[in-house]
Amino acid sequence: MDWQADGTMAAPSIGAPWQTTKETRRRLQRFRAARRHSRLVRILRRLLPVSGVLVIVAIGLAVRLAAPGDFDVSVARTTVTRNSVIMENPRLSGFDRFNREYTVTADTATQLLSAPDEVVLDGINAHLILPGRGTADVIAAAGTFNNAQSKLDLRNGVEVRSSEGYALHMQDADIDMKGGTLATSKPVRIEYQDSVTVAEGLHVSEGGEVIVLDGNVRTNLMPPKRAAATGTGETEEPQPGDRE
Amino acid sequence: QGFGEAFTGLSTDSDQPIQIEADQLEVQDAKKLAIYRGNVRVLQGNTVLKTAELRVYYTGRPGGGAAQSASTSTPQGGPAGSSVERIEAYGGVVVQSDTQTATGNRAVFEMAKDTVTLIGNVVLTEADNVVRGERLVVNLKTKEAKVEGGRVQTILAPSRTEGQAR
Repeated sequence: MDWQADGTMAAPSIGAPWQTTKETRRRLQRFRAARRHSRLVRILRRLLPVSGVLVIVAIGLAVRLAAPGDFDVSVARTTVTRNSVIMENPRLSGFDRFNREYTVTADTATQLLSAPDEVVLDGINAHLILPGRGTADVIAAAGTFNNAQSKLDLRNGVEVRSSEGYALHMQDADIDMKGGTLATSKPVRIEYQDSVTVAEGLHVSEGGEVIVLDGNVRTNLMPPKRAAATGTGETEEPQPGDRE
Repeated sequence: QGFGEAFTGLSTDSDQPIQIEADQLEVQDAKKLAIYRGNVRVLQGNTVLKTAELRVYYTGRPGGGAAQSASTSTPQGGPAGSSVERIEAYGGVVVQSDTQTATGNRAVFEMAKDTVTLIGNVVLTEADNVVRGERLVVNLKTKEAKVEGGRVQTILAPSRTEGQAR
């Protein structure tokens, strides 16, 4: 933390774009340690908000499962209140280490000074390129990101649409960034091409490679010939399993 | 007899939707494999297949697999028909339709060839007729059924005996 000439505190310089996750973690740990121990920082934490960039970086880490590459950030407006920092229309886009582009936007991101490790988001929209499997759009009404545990809890309706033809509808989703897992214990509905599958819970691991649905799994699918036989371009939307 | 009838429901030709029920479904996307486990039931029309584990091998391409089968090869890959190539059932299989039941250790559905093969102490019953064998191969389109291997033992219950154990 270095003081600027005009007496305000300069944002912690992120310096060169972070190269590797170890580098990122070490840098974060050093930053957090510095923050915790030095008395100056404790005073500052009460007087001055944590810099906006750190908040945005937190969101970037939240969604980007792979190690962060370089990224750029834009924020429509930052409002600093006595006890929180509010970002409007934060937008983060960048490339991960596989040079795949990602973009994360939210209507607002709020960080309470009392809980600097948490960022409350609403109107989340992320566009990601999945390893080897096209792109995916994640839309969630609300969510909380915890920087310390690198966990993102999405709430009030979550939808994941992938260019591979998957559409995943959930009520909530708990994402563990480090572990690369996503889980929900509430009803889930997955549409894939012409099939619809519902279940009472879901657990995704290995960054999306393995998807496990639990509890009363029901899949409805149309036999292939039928779609071909009718020769119609689109396939009829199969009515979801009526039997609950 | 038309033991193939037992499987007619499960033919990819019929236009009735297929419903699969299970306690759990695991999708391994890299291997394009979906595994249903626990009280697995596959329902189509009036045919029910019950098994312990069902493995569905699909292709990533919409309309892949079956669409390539000779009879309906739609060059442009066709509409997004189910891209299921092969289904395997393990841990005991029971296939029931109105009048017939077929059981075996496991079963393999080859979508492209439109056949299902029941393997391992296969028993077919229709009313009082019972056929046993090692393998049963059914062509889902032509409904033709062949029991092969082991001692094919056919017990044709004489028609007018009472108290015939069903």
